[in-house]
Amino acid sequence: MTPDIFLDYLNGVNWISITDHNTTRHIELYSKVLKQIDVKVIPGIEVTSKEEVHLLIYFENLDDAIKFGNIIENNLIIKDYNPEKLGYQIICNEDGTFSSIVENPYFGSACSLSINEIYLLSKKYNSLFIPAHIFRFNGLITNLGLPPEDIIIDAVEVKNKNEIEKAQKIGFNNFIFNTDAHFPEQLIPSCKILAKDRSFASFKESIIESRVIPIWQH
Amino acid sequence: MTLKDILKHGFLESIYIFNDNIEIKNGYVGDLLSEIMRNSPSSSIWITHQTHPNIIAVASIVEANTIIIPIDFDFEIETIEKAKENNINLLKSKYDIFKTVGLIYNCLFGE
Repeated sequence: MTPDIFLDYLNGVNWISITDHNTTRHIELYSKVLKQIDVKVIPGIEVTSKEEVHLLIYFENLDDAIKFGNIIENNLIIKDYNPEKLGYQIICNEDGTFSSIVENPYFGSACSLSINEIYLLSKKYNSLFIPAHIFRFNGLITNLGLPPEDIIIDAVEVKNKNEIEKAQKIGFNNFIFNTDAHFPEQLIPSCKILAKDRSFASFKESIIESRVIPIWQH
Repeated sequence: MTLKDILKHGFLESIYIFNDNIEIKNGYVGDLLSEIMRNSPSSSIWITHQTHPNIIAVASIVEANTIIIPIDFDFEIETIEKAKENNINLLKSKYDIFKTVGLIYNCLFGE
């Protein structure tokens, strides 16, 4: 999903979060490209915890996201990987050409930090802590059965009405709805966020006050 | 030891077998896929509760040739399809994971 191709698939979206798996290396470039067409970017990351639970963390500042991303990368458990088997990890340029290949660590790896450790680390920054696809593969509830104690979860990601009902029974009240797009053609708008403006503060407020309206994909 | 030798003991049900003459040198138990990718030895039997299609990719990467799940678990249809594409044997045990591992350990390393 290089920037030159990505732009053709945005379908009227004007607010987007970039949450690569276990790295924040591409956010700056994409933010720059998207700024040119007035699409606001929320810097984020999808971290794989020690328990192999996928966690979305959204940041107010790009610098915070990058610092956090570096810590996660340093804690990934698979250091050396075989690109012939797993695919090359390419860092690209604005025009879609590649500038470098990351040989280590493997971004598809879990990290050595527990959910609680990742939570505490994320809260050193102005961020939102949102477990991804909680009822699916690598989801919080699928992998751990119950939400961990001592963590204040800002919202959870769900995929349909049935999942909202299940999540409400567990005690979750705030939801987000993402594309989980891994390919450009999957970049379909996933929700409408009713907000004063496209600032992080408004994003946070809208999530906490349940002003996120799903556009169901499934 | 070949997979055929282990199957003779009768506690494993075949879900998909591409080659029962394949050599099993070792085994590994675990449900965390990154951990398997980091540590599982090659030519292994992998015993897990995971049934998601991703296990086939992981088994291919670590060169585990056979995956076993315990009783009361079922492979997803897509997992079986991927096993066929990637030449991975899929088996289901008549027992829970503890007893299954013990029996396989005895097959491989017992007297």
